[in-house]
Amino acid sequence: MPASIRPTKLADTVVERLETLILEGSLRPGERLLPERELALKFDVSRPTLREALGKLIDKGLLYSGRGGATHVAALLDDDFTRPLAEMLRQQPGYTADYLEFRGIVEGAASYLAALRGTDIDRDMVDASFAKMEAAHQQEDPTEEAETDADFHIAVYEASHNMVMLHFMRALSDMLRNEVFYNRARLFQRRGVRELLLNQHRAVHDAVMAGDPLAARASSEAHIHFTREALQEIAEADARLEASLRRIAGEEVSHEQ
Amino acid sequence: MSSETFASLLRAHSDSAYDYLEFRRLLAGQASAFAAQRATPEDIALLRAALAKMEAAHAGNDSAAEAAADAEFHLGVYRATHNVVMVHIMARLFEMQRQGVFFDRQDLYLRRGVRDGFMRQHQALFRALEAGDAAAARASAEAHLASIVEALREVQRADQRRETSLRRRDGSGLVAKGRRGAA
Repeated sequence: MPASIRPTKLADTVVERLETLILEGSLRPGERLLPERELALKFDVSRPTLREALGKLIDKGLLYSGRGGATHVAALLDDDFTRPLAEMLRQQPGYTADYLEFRGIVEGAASYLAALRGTDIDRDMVDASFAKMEAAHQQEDPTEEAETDADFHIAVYEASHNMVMLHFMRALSDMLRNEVFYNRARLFQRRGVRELLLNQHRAVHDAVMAGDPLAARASSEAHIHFTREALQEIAEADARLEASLRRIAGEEVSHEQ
Repeated sequence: MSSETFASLLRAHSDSAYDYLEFRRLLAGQASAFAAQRATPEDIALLRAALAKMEAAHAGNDSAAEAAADAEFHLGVYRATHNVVMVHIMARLFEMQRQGVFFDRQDLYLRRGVRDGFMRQHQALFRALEAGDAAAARASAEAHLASIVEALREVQRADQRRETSLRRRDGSGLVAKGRRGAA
């Protein structure tokens, strides 16, 4: 029957607080925590208590010690989730299409939820990410625009408020940044593509800002569909170019006829 | 860091069950539609075998075997999409589910009514896949996921209701003797 009410150990309360921050995505993989002294002040606990909490989180694999005794946030889905996938994709570049097919489904769902549930704060974040993308669009070099592009999608995942989706898609997004699925620079270099991509993101942005779930889903799906077609175009153009080069070099092996 | 990291964190925060089921629901419809369009005869044979295992376990009241065959069936559907990225991600999710990260499957499977419903839903999904009917596959998969969410909510509420009943029967233990019912 009503059990006695005992205060939770202070260190465990700190653990729980940090766990929630990691799970909801407020603390991001790789981020470095404040020095112990400052963290202890923030939580209003003693340094031994804080140290005990950090130790527990390190044991659980949620934090890790970096250089100079700094404490960092670990990725929730780490190497043993992404490595086999990356390996598979390296061996079979054709799987890029599978990645984009999967993204198309998830992206549509994420935008739908973001438009449905995004709080005013989430919408501010989505708005700010898109503003950064627009600014980066003005630069000749597309590298930064590609980065802001990936950040924009993360902001949408965050606004969806589905933690399971957020962490899986974050892991995939990191792979995307590492060019596992395809060469993003090639995509952005293609004439007219940057402009089209920006407009597609604007459509997603507008729908999320307006709180229109169906429009958000449709524009996200259209965006991924376009990316898929553009990459296929590039692959075909590459194949044609290679064929021409082989012909010029006279290296073409003659088969039938 | 290990693959256990994410799992242990989710286990500690129980409302992740609904995020997990929502994520699955968002994927299940389209994945099942793809599976209906793309399944090879070999895929269908594997699904039929998983379903047969499920039916046998259901008839024999073996809830653990039924839950295992259930997961095998769903993974089979994802394999039948022939999308390797999807299979990789869903295999990880099902592994976490098998470990009881999101909720205790036994909680659901111990309820005969819930299992009867799940059984019929799997049979309907299988028929749609076998017939190559994408629209029907999508609808059955979505209905199935909706019904898992509903069942889980009911189980959790039933647990709370039981605790309330127990407190009512045994008293709260907070009232001074002889004062109960005093006007």
